[in-house]
Parts: sequence; structure tokens; C-alpha cells
Amino acid sequence: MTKIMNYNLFIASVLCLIMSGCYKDKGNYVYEDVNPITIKDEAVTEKLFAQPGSSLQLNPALELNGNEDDLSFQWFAYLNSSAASYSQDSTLIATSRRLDYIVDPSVFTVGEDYKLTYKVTQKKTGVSYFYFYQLSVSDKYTVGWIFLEDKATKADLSMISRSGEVIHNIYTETNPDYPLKNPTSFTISHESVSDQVGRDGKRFYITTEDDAIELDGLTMTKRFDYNYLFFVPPSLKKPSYIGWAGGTGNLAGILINDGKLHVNMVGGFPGAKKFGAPLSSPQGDYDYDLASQTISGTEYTDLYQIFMFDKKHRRFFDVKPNALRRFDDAVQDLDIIDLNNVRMDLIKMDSSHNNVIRNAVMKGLDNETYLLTFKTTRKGEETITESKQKLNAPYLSDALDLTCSTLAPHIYYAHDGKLYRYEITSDNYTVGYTFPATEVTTKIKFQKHGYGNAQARLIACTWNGSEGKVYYFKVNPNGSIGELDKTFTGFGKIVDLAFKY
Amino acid sequence: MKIKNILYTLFVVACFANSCGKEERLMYKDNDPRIYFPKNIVTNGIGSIDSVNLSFALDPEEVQTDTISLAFRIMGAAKAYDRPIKLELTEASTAKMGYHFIAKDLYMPANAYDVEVPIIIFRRHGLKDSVLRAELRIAESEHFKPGYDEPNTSSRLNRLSYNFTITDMLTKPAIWDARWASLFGAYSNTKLVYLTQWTGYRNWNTAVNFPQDRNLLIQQARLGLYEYEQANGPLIDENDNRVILP
Repeated sequence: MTKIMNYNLFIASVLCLIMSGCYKDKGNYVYEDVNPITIKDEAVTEKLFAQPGSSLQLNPALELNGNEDDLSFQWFAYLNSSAASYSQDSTLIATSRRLDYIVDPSVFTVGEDYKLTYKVTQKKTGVSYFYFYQLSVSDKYTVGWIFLEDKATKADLSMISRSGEVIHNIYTETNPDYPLKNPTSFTISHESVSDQVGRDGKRFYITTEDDAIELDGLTMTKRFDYNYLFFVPPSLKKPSYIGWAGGTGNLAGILINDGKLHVNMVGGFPGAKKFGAPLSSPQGDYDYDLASQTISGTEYTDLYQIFMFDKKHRRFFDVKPNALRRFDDAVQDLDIIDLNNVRMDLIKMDSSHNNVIRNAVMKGLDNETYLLTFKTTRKGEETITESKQKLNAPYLSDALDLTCSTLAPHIYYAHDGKLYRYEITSDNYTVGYTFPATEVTTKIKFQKHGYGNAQARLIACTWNGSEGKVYYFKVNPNGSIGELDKTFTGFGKIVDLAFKY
Repeated sequence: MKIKNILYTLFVVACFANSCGKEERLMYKDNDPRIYFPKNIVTNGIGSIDSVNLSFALDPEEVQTDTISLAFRIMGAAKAYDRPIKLELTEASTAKMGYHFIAKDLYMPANAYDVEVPIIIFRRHGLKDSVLRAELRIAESEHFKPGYDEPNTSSRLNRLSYNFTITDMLTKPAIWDARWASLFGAYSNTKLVYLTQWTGYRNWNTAVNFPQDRNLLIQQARLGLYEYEQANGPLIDENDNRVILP
């Protein structure tokens, strides 16, 4: 009996030994206290911008219980691009408490974003603390107005940066092997374009009378020839405008060649996107001649995303990615205007102070100037045609350019050395400034946030036969032309301008 | 009793100890080599769709051959020598191997697990008025047995079968109503010939899905029709209807 009991005890012991292997260790939960470090940098609240060769200085604050003698410091840079490898190595760029670093072009590439990591390690415990900065490496052409100039024998670009620095000869110096002449248009897409042809980003185009190119917006060097922009290039090379239009998230490339429209439809679907064959008119023919301008809708859901104007038959088109459409009678108040037959010439389409209404300044067959206003979408049964108004604005139809305010119901234009402000609501005008007698205003542009959110800017470009100038005017809250803020000289004849940001 | 208990104990301990043993890897037996058409996905260029409807009708006269590729993949280990693959035609097939088409280099190369074999199609005279059908099946040979199989589905044949048709007749593409009618309207042979000329596209049994590509096709077609009508007047098809594009 005792033997049996012993034996059962033996079996139970063996089983207990085996089972004990499954028992979870309670572990050692006695931790040593560490001295925590908090890293802050209140001097940097947003993304950093740096140019290759420039100095990058950072001085983050450390909060710790003790001194910094026991600490080691490291600064790393990671390429923070969607195209970057997940297994990429970081680059150690400094081991100092504060960063005082000359941006090395062999480490940082223009146009790329980086994550800059500040690593602070307690030598005694080996515990590390981290702080991250977002760094964008850019060039000197980052933000500012870019001007397309006709310099008689060549086209060129100049820039006025946000700080007021003027950079001339940008195109000719960066593209000595591809000179352009007789320029007509310079555009920058208002949104980033993903066409799987070039790198994602905004698109920059220079158009001349017989050629056009796409520029790299970072380096301002030629990226693509005109023909490369097409799936099948047209036999006649006669561009007049290239740009991107459409409401938010509804981008389409707009290219006018020989007066005909070619469209580049982009979106989230795969494959290369380029400009296609010309679009036929709503009648199925190609009997139209487009004005070199366009106006867009606002929202993705807007019924009408892109408006264009046929100079030959004096009509507007509703531009769809694969067709030019006429406007249904049901969406128009024909007592105001028939967009399919306006019987007036277009001077300029522009935005207005109401973000769902667009302006079209027209010259009637009676030589009077008119303002048409229309909406880009409709609710229920309402019509999109808003108004047709005859304008008491002297010389407006003879002005080389005009611009509409996006703050108040005003139109600005210049003629015969005078800078006018026309007020739509009161049908009245004032002369806000008089240029030197020798200067002709070639381009004019309203910039809503020219001086931050608080004040708008009016930009007037003049030409005296040998030199172009740029005038910056402050615009008062009531829309009147305020003081002349700055004058910039040394330009060629400015034929177009666009804001780069 | 004692012996019984000892045996019982040993059994229990053995059961526990057994769980610590390492299993051998489950390997495919190398004495059963097989081969099949990999169909469900295309990886590294290997993989094939089920059926091809091949037509010479839109090709110029100087085009006398065309080529399709058949992908094969093996089961089992690769061998250090080339291994011929055997294909058979079903009785329902009307195309003749060796006359209407040949399979060039029909073997699995040494040390390879998959291969694409070119099938060269000949533009024989009899194709002018008929559509011939080839139903290829993988057959057992000295080197391979038919491999991984699965039932046919509505959209795919099993992995031992591959079908294609060849013709020199102009025929309405099978996907016209589903994929092209919304772009180009009603079908006619005349329209198809001119669409091919205007757009440069000729694989009408394969759909074009992406908007930018479809836009390009309709833009080119409209321009082509407009220019034709400017030069020649309306384009009339074989049914005496005017060719129009929506």
C-alpha cells in the first residue's frame, strides 16, 4: 500500500515538474527611476525651409533634473518622401547640443522633405529622448511673384520674393541651351498635379507664339518639350495657353493649340496622363477659336468646372474632360444673357468678390463695355446667369489688362498712364494713381492676401519702351487704391505673371 | 500492477515529451513533377489569361503571323536539363497545330520553375471566311503530368486548359456592347475599320478602362471622322447607315 502511495506521489511529482514549465514567471518589477528629459523648441512652430549651402541653426530647450554633462546629442536626417525606401538609413549630420549646420547638398536634395531628428541620450542609463522637425529643402525660387518677360530677342523670367528680393534672368541663366522668344503666357497650377509623367507637384508652363515648355518648378529648368505633353502631338505647333483649371480636386489640364482645346484629365487612376486630341465643338466640328483664358468652378461638386470662350462664334463653353458642351437653356435666364450666343467679345474672365460668382468683362458690338456675372453651380431650378451690366468705366475696353477684386465689387485697370478703380455697385470710377507719362501698363493683378490676411495688394506692370517696372500698391479695406508701397525696376516687357507658393 | 504503473508513467511522460519534437518539413515529392497554366495573377511577367480572340482582319496584308504567349509553371523541383511539355488539342478544336499555329520552344528550361512559350499564329487563306478554334490541354508526358487543377469558373478555364480563336474575318468584338458602345455607339464593320485607322488601337477584344485612355480614343475618333467627312462627305457603313459617334 505504501509502495503504491509512493509511486502515485512520484507520478504526481513528475507531472508537477512538467507542468511547472508552463508556469509564468512573476518577473522582476523593481525599476530604477530615471531622470526624464523634456525637449521643446518654441522658436519653431512649423515646417523648416532651407536651401543647400545655407546655415541651419536650431536650439531646442531641454528640461531635466540636473545638468547636461551626462548627455550626448545626435542630429539625424531622414528622407521623408512617399517614394523613400522604408529601410533607408538615416544620416548623422551633427553631434552637438545645438545645431549649427551648413545644409550639405550631398545629403539634402532640393525639392525633398526630411524629418530631422534630435536625439538626446543619458550616458548613464542609455535612455534616449527624441524631438522631430519637418524640414523642406528648397531653392531660392520658393515663394513670390514670377514675371514672364519679352526681352525682344528672348523670353525670360524674373521673380520678386516674399521678402522683396528681386531675381532677374532666371530662365536664361538656368536654360541657356533652350532659349525662347515671343512669350505669351506663364501659368502655375493652383494644385499639385499627379499625372505619372513628371514628379507630383505644381505644373509650370511657358508658352510662346510657336513653342511651349513645362518647367520644373523647383529648379526652373525645362522639364518637357511641347510635343512631350501630348499622347499624340498635333501636326501644327501653335500654342496660346497651357494651364490647369477646375474646382478643388477636379483638376484638368487645359491646352489651346491653334485655337482648339486639348484636355489632360488626371485623377487617382493609374497610368500616364497627357494631353489628348483636340475636342470637338458641341456641333461635332472644330469650327471654333478659343480665347487664351479660362475660369474655374470652386468646389468638387460644382456643376460647371471650367468655362472657356469661343472668340469666333462669341459663345461660352462648358468644358468637360472629353467634350465641349453648350449650356442648357434651362440653366440660363435668357433675358439676361445666352451663354451659347453672347454677341459680345470677351475682354477678360476673372473671379469676383463672391466665390461662387464669376465675372466676364465683355465688349459689346456697340463698343460699350459690359460685365456678365454667372455662377458655377446651381441649386434646384435656379439659373446660373446672374446679371449683365453696362459699365461706366472709361477706356476699360482699351486697357491692356484688368483685374477684378476678390474682396469687394471692384475692377482695376490702367489706361493712358492712369490707374483706375471701377466700382460695380455704384457704377462709378476713380483714378487712384498716375504713372509716368512714358509708361504703359501691360499687366495688372489683384492679390487678396498681398500683405497677409489683413490687406490686399495691387500689382501693376509697366513698360516704357526699354524697361519694365513692377508697382506694388496697397489696397484699402474699402477697395480704394492706397499708397504706392514699392517699385521694382530692371524688368523686360512683362507679358504675364503668376504667384508661386 | 507495478509494471502497469511504470508503463502508464512512461506513456504519460512520452506524451509530454513528444510535444517537444521537431516536425519534418512538408515537402512536395520530387518524383511527381507536374505542370499547369498559372492564371489567377501575373507575377514577374508570368501568368496568362484564359482566351484570346485573335483577328488579322485589321492588319495590313504584309502581316502574316502573330504571336501569343503561353505561361507554364511547374510543381516540384527544377531540373538541370530542359524538359519538353506536351500539349493536345481537344476534338472540338478546328485549328490545326503545325498548320494554323506552332508552339515554339515548348519546353521547361533547365533550372526554371516557369516559362513563357510563344505560340506563332499563321494567317492562312482559309481564315478569310471562318473562325477557327484551338482548345489546348496539358497532356501527360515523360516529364510532366497535368498539374494543379481546379474547376472552370464563369470567367476562367481551369489551369490545364487554354483556348484561342483565330480568324481573318472582321467580326464584332465580343465586348463591344459592354465596353465600347458607350464610347463609339452602334457597331458596324466599317466603323471598326476606321476606328482602328483613326485611333491606332486594334485590340478591340480588350477593354480600355482608364478615363484618360478612353478620352484619347474618342477624341481621336471624332477628329478622324470629322476630317474624313470634310474630305469625302458622310461615311456610310456596310448597312447603308451613316457612321456617327455619340
